[in-house]
Amino acid sequence: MKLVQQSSTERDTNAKPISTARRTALIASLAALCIGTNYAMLPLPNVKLMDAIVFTTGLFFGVVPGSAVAAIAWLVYGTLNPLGFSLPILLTVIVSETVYAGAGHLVRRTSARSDMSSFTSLERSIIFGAVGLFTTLAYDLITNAVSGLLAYNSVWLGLLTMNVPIPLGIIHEASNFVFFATITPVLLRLLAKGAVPIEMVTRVKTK
Amino acid sequence: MSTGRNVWFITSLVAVSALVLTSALSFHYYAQYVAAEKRYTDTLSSLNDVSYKVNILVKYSNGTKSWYNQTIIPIGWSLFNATSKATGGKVEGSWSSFGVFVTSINGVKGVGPDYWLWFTWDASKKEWVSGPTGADSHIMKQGETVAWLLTADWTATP
Repeated sequence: MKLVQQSSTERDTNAKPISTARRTALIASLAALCIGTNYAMLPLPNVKLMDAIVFTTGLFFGVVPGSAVAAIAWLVYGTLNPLGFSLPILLTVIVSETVYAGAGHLVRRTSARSDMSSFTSLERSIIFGAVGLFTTLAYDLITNAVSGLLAYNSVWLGLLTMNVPIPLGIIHEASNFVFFATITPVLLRLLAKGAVPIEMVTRVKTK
Repeated sequence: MSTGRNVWFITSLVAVSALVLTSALSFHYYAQYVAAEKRYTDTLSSLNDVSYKVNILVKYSNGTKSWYNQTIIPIGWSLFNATSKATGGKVEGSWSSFGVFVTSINGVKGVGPDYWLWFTWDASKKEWVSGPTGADSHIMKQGETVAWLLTADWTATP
């Protein structure tokens, strides 16, 4: 058993590859989910489901679709944002957000190579949570360093504002630990269902 | 990966995650502490511009001494006001055209032949100098040391 239990793009799977249209629709839906949840969670600073969704996309589809979801979501949410718009910051967060897609892809590759059948659901959730925390730390370090450079002309001052005076970095990392541990397994199961071609579902039902 | 190794792997992940979060939290609280300390220092510095620090001694007839060191008072306050602040308002006096005559400090009244007299410390001569005016007429200076003495002997010093 692997961390990613069902994916049409896995090398060792016998499942029929999903069509480009279905794949595109799923990726678009995930991007829409990111945008919708981002606006819904606007009052909660640095608490967003988007990171977990991008990670799951990277985990299920690979780094390119994951990065596409990140870019689409940020292009909409970063442009039409009540907190303001800044092109350099937007470009930074788009590039940084791909860290989650990359992490998802890495976990997918590691999972494909190693025997991870001995992990329970809880252990898998903890692994996802820990990966979420470390990637969020990397994301926060990159974005705060760039923001500091742009706003104060100092990388260190930017890094300092990560947790001072408001511990936004800690909020981001802790919430992502929880979201990666809880949302990712659920989303993976839903994607696994959604990725099964319709004709296969029909065949199973008619049997 | 065996189950035993899994337990250690997961425990390590949880421990490292907790370490990252607690380190960040420690840094956050340390920064808050540094900011609070700076605010305190700044406030104290601003306070020094509009206030004096004085030392007040209260010596009772039985020889007991009470020191009120580094008492912060606004610039321009009299000895009477400063003593009242230092003792938490436990100063009583009678007023006349000559000024205030202190009758009680910290609930200890000047009865019989005992009176409350005040002195100021002359740092150059290193001796107590008897107060030449009423306590309400003596305006305190920065760093001044004064004393109240309950005595029947008008020539005694603290």
